[in-house]
Amino acid sequence: MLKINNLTVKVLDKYILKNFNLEINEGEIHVLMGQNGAGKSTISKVIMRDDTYEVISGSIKYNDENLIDMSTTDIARKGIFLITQNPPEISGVTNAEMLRTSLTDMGKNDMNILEFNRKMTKICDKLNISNSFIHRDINYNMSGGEKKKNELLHMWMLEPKCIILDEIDSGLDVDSLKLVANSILDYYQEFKPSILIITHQKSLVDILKPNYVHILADKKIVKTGDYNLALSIFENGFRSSIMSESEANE
Amino acid sequence: MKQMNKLIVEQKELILNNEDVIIDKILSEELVLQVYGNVSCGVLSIPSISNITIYLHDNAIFNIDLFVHLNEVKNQINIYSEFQTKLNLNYACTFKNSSYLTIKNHIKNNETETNITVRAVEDNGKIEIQAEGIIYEDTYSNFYAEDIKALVINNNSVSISPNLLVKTNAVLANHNATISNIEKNDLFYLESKGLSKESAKKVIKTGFLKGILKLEFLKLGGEGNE
Ligand SMILES: Nc1ncnc2c1ncn2[C@@H]1O[C@H](COP(=O)(O)OP(=O)(O)O)[C@@H](O)[C@H]1O
Ligand SMILES: [Mg+2]
Repeated sequence: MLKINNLTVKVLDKYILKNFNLEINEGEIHVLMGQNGAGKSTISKVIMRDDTYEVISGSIKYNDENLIDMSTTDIARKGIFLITQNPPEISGVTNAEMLRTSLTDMGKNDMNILEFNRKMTKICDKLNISNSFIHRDINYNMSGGEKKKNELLHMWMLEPKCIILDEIDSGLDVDSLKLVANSILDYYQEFKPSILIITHQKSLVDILKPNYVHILADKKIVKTGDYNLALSIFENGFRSSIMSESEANE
Repeated sequence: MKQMNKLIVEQKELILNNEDVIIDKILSEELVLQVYGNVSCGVLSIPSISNITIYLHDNAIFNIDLFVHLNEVKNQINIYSEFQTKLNLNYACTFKNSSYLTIKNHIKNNETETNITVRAVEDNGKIEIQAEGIIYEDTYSNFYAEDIKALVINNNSVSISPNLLVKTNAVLANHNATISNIEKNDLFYLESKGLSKESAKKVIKTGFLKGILKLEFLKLGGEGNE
């Protein structure tokens, strides 16, 4: 479904990723881990073609189409959805306005206002946020945790097929983290999307039970494993986990 | 929401007394607004030469929202604030070609409060914005604030000169002016949610303008008189 091949990326004359490879098949959940500054957020934004990041070589294929030649808008319309580490506040633009515009632009807005509001209300209830979020400005004056829930509101409305979550756990208290993780799990069970999760949080990994866990270091993925690799990282840190899983587990 | 009267104004003077009005169109080049009591007013269109004078009579509270498209327009607003008056003037505009906006406040009396907020969005053109507050000597307990922001394609398209002429110390005054482009990160964000670049720009610009308007009626409307 999503296949990244030998991707090399630069920002302001600095190489952030070199020969990065990653393949995510339909319905798989992958966790990407790595130290601060390793390039995790970079890969999430490069997939959406944020033009701050210059792609030097390599390809990003999504169902055999190369995303590198596409605009951010077109990539979103293919069903790829990113929740960034720090979602911006857009004052003056409400969630409802943005979502209706998006659904209409995509030709997916088959709901009338009443149905649209009903759907939004239902999702707000599930996310344990007030219905007033429907008409609030996007992320504006929201707490860190509210922003993440607000982003999930967008996800539930837009129904993407491939989801990238960049540290969705940051800024969440214990209860919110559980709620957010379970909301992602519910979404997964209903729509079976592919998911790439960037996280440092054990409880998120525990709830979502990824198929694969990757370590990003030295500008590429240096190690891939299963849930046990994540456990090893949580217990022993990155360095010993990269050297050897079995050693680290001792 | 209260039922609002919608007006097309051809005359040179309008008396507003404890009422809410929407002015669809001002046609006269010279217009004097005499304001008594508590008045809310929305203005959706002005002529290419427009001199508006606002008299706030003692104890008047005046909320005025303008939501206009300026295309080769010279708009001058003169304000005279009497004793214990309160003015909130919110001016949201798009500008095309070359336009001028001058807002002049004459504060000769005491215990007044003035809040001037201007938001201007470039639609290929330039604008000169002058906001002038003149606070006369021997006045006291006045509050005066100006907040002017422009969203532009080209940084040279706007010149803002906030001008405060304060002839007394007994006043609280501040002004603040910024000119900026649409944030690249905001555009990327909206595009990543499936909006086209054009839609993304449009909602950002409209949000920037409507954000300052207080009258719900205007917010539901389109972009100025376009
Ligand atoms: N827009 C940018 N401008 C300059 N440097 C950047 C930019 N984005 C990322 N970087 C740099 O790229 C490296 C990787 O950053 P990032 O992808 O955010 O790491 P991570 O998410 O793994 O913590 C860091 O050294 C960071 O400073
Ligand atoms: Mg990051």
